[in-house]
Amino acid sequence: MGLFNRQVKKKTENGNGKANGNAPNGQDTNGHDVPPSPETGEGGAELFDVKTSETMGDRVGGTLRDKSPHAIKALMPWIDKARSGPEGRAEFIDKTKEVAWVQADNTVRAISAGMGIADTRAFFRGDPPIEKPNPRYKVHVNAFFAHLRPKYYEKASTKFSHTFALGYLSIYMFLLETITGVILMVFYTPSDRRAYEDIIKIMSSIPYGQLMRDLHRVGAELMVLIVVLHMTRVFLTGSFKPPRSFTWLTGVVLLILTFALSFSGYLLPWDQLAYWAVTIGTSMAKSVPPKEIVGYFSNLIMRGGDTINQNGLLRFYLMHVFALPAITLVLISVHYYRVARSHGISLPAAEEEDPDPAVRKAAKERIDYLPELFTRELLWAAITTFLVVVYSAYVFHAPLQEHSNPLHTPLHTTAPWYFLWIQGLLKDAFVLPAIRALDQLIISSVKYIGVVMPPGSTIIVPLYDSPAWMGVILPTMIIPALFFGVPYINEWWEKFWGSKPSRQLLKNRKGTVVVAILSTIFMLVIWYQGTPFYGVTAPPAVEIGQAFLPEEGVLPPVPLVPDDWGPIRRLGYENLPDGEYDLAEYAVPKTTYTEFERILSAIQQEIMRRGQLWEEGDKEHGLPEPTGVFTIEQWQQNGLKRIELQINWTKTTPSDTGEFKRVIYLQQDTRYQ
Amino acid sequence: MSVQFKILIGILFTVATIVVLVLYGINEDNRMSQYQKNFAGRTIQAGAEYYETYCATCHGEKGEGIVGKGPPLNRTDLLDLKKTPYLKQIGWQGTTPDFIRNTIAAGRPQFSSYYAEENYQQHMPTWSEDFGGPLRPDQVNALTAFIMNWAPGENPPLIALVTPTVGPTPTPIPPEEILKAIPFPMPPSDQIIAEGKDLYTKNCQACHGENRDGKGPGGLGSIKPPRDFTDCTGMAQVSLVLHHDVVVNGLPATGMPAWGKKLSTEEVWKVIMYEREPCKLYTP
Repeated sequence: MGLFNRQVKKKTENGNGKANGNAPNGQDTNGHDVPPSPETGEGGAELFDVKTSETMGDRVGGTLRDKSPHAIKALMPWIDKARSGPEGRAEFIDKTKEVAWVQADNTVRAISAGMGIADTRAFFRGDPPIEKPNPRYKVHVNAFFAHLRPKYYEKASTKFSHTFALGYLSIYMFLLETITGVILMVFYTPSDRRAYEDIIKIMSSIPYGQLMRDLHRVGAELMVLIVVLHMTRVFLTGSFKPPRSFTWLTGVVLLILTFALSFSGYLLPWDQLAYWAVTIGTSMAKSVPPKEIVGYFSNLIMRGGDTINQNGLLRFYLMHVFALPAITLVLISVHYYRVARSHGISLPAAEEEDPDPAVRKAAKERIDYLPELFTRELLWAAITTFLVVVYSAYVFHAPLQEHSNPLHTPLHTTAPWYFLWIQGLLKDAFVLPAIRALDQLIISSVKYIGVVMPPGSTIIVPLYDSPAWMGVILPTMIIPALFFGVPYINEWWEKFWGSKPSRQLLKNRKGTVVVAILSTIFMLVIWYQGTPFYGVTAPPAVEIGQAFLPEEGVLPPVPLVPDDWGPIRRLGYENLPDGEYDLAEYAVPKTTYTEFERILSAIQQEIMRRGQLWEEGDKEHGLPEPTGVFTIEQWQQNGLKRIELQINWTKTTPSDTGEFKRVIYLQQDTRYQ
Repeated sequence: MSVQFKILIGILFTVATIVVLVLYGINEDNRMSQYQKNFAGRTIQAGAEYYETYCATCHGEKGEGIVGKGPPLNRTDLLDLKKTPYLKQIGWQGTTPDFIRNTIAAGRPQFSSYYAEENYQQHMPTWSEDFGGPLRPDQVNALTAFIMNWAPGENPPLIALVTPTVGPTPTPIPPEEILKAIPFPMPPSDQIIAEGKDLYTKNCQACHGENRDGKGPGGLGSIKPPRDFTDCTGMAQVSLVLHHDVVVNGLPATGMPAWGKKLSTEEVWKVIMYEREPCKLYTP
């Protein structure tokens, strides 16, 4: 520190000397930066004036002199002086320090793309710039990545409570996905025979392989979440209004691309979860009207066949690692260019529209990118990286189910959480019942004019193509059409009512608040309808089996929560004593129960609840007089147990089987926690 | 927040991230070997499920073998890596898992001389899709892992290894008995057909096709293509009793599994009625 201070002191002594002397030379007339260069004699002109060193030149000879480094050349005249006596030596030492300073300063200028030592120091201390004009602006001209960023932002637009840094975090997630994705690509082969094996290899033989996969997964879910939140923020602050309409439009395209990126990556692990989630997701393509042409071909092009197979996997892989990232990068560039160069981040509406000019002026006060916002961004990156790494390392692990099996659909297969709302639409809870009711109304009313329809006949229902309307037309209307249209619909709306354009949400945009609340409720409702909790009618005994011994890990319908393989698997091999357990004995929970007995008791409670439901008249969810038997058998001597849950009930119809069996095997080394 | 404060906090978080990564890295070897064991266990579990579906009908639930159908697999002379007289006798040079994997994948074109006194109904069929069977390579590997798990390991055996016993051949049930067991009046009602359709969609459609024409994606590449139920001349050859037998016991050489273990008697009959519906062949 002492050395550093001395150098700075030296510098100030030298003057207004060196530092300020450099600045005018440092920029040409166009404002482009030219680093002070010893070669051209600019910058430290008198220091590097070699022509004065005649004596030294005579002594060492012309060739050596010409080939000497620049700093040595500059010092040559003083070497002779140093020989003359103590005063000469002192002068030589001073000169050496000065030359060294200029050399070091020039090096730092080259590295920092425009800032000298003193300014670099001021940069990291948060001090104002020393030289004039501001050397920090030179960085924006000299360095490519800095030139992408604006030199300054308007102060009010950088408030955290205004943007929540969501745009920046989206880009951060895109970068995180790119880095982890490229690392995963090294170990992955997009082949139906090798993909699953490669994922296992990544998890079991590549150091940090599991972490990379978890980071990639966490990043993907966060990216969707953050992009959606970013869009919500922009909507609520009215930042989509002119002049930002087109930026909003590119943002909607980026939202769709984010969904597509995340969804195309879903298939790659090639497990049951991947296979069936994507099968459901792509099944919508089949319904695009006219089905026979567009639906057929879009399905064929996406899946590479009637069902997803090797062709489909390769297509999804190429989309995921090449086509979609490339398009996204281009769109991000356009989106960001408009924010950075065209109109900037919007100011908080209340401040921008404040009647007091002083407030408006304060809001527009400049805040420089270097170093205030730059360090803020780095801080954000460091905190986010830390949180994401800790979350992936210790909390969340990307799910991996059994190898994909096209011949077996697991119970309660769902699309990824961010597409559950489409799955909810496909269950068609509103329109189809309405049309059915209308049909009944027509049939019952035409009776009065003497037309008797046979029972069970339909009139409008066959004309209504539910998958096409609910899976394709409505989502298309919601996402691209409506979202694209938001700024333009808004403009038209304001013109229609003759209202003054304003971005203040609670003051001047009460209609927007109503629309936002209603559409959020609507989205939440159809999202809920997409989950297995709504409208899926698996037989009650199957549901009991699924709750305690699911076929595969059950993925919750919300992001960033690990999958669950049911209490029996979680309990683990060691804690499952062999035997045949009549569940009726566990009807009353006791405090003395072991963990295993508590689960048996929970199964019995559920069975009894179903019996209760039947007695109350709920034939769909109830079971008549159900009983359960739970069997654990040592199946192989080397640590394999067979676990069977059998549920019996009274047959009520001839087609009723009266029994249900769910069998799983558990090996001693498997872990489901 | 001053620039220096931001830099300080940023450095602290970066260092914290590095510390987390190092701590995570220290445990990596341990975690990886844990995961390998975990995955080996899951492979055996999957193998157990496939074994129950595809192999248990001939080789017995616990690999004890079924007289006249398949030899026992749970045997010391095959699986004990130290003494494998069986492999020596047939001159197999590779490892035991390789032998098992190959046998499952490619089948046995001729009967083994090791069980020369046994009289098996049919050869071991090819199971791998590479040789026209229904199983993917990972399924064959899982089966191999499951069978190899019978080999005596570090743990003392809990089930004594089974030695083959020759018992009486089961007497076939007379056809009248089978037909008597149909649990609903014939010809079947629309309700029965509809329920049969549900079961068909769940269990059979993958190979026999959505239109019951035997052109499902699962059946492509089989040695013997799945039955086309819409072909009425072909279906005329299939009596109700034969149909029932094939569904319940399977056709091991073709990839048709035995459904008797998975479906109840009633469900089997419902499926049969749905399959016979295109040609209306409801009489015995």
